[in-house]
Amino acid sequence: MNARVTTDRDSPWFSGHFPEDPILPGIGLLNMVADCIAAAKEETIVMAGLGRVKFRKIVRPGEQLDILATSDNKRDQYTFRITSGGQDVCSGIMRFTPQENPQVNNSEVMSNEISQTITRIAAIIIDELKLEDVTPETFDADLDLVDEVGIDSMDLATIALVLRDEYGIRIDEDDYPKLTTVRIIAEYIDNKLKSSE
Amino acid sequence: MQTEKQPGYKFSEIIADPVIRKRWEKVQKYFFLRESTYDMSNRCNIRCEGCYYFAGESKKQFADENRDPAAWKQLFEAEKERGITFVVLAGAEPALAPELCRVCFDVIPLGAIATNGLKPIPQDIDYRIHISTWGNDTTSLAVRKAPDMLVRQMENYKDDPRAVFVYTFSPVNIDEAREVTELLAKGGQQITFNMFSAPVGYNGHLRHTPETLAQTRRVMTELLAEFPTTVLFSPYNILAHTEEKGLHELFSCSYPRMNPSTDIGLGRSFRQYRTDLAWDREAACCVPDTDCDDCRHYAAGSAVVTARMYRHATDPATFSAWLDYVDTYLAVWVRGYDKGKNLCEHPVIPIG
Ligand code: SF4
Ligand code: SF4
Repeated sequence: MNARVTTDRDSPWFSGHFPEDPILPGIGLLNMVADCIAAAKEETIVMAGLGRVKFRKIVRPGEQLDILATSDNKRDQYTFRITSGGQDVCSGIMRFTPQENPQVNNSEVMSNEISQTITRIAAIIIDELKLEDVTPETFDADLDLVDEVGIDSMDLATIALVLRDEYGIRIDEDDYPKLTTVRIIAEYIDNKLKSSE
Repeated sequence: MQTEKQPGYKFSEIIADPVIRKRWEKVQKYFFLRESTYDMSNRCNIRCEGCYYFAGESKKQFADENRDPAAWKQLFEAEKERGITFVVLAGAEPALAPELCRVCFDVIPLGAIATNGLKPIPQDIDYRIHISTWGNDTTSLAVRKAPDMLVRQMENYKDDPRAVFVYTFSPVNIDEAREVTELLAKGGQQITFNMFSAPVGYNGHLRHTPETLAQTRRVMTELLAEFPTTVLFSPYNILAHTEEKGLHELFSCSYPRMNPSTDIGLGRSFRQYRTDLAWDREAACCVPDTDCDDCRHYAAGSAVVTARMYRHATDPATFSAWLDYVDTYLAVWVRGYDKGKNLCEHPVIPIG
């Protein structure tokens, strides 16, 4: 999917970020990509996750952007790239789910809890490792923390201590090798909390 | 909801203390260090009794000696690429291959060299230099067959901020540590302590006993108190290295030799290269011929105790003791890192 978009000078994104120095925030760019993909698919879908998102260039009001999104082999997953005059603006992976009946069921509540834990763990990792170009919301929960983020055992120990404070659980040192992604850590915490109920 | 047994303090409460926080922030900057070790030469200019290198079971001395700087450069560049940020250059005697040490320094600027100190290492190789000391000069002459060893070592590394003397306590030289420490203090040099750790299969008189461990503990404690700027050690170092239980039993060694996991930490990144530039996971640790049940080696502790931060974050005193250990480790191994005053002066039982 290819799309060309000109950023609207009157968009509320610009007035909020920042009145004196307007730029389009990262979330605005991601929304743009999601809207384009949803329009191309001609079905109601919602964004379910993001991965490897990198912001490389500031976008100003009135700038023309090219959006390229290609469907990956995995169902409902797209690799996207935004450029402006040939310069990279933002790239990453976006996952979608079909919009379902909004009736809330237990598994949704559960996955909501897990996704909150995921966001919190991502925030802790970003804070502890002083990572740039990524927010808790855009952190890929399935990224390999050792291979792709470069975390080592002392970083993991520090993160484990912050998680211990926050969730009141003990993370066994022998379990570190298993805690390879944010999602796995979130599930680990969830299991620990459940088994101590 | 019933939570698991929790320590009395939250981590955030422990590091809220400004003194602890400052030290924590000081050591945390070095969490990027990832080490591997390299045998630079299979030759030595002396022949000590019971030398791990020449008597050890791994038969490293029979590995071919690759003396090609280009091959070493390629290795170190690959090591850097692999994420190695700290090298330990060892032996037999690395001072006999200064050109290879230099190649390494040019690629990976943080590291330490373990030497007998009899041949000075050129100044431009700005690594920490660990000079092995086994007793006073009478003992050295008897065991290492080299006369005036300490005198020559001190002369070679006079006013050299790279140098730290590593005194290995064995049951036969405990009392000589005072004489050596006094001489080094007079010369404005620094010393840290190591423990003789038996090679695999060794049951001779140099293996420590509960009595010699207790005696070593007493002497180390006295010397640390009397020479606080000369001795790079802490009360927690003393306890951890003179316990009857070895380091592995206390802290679960994470070197590949004892740790099958390749997922994270030393089990993932540590390698011990021989002079032929080969390495073997089964033998990979900083002291490959040592009996793990008797391992109290300073290099082992530097990796094994420091890695166990989580279990020491139980209360301010225990965490301070761990910080003292890490501060000592960095002061001993990293050029330019200055040791702070120990935070925990009273004994804390090693957290096994
Ligand atoms: S100086 Fe070191 S390598 Fe050389 S013989 Fe003595 S212990 Fe072995
Ligand atoms: S000898 Fe020491 S450092 Fe080496 S594997 Fe055994 S316990 Fe670990």
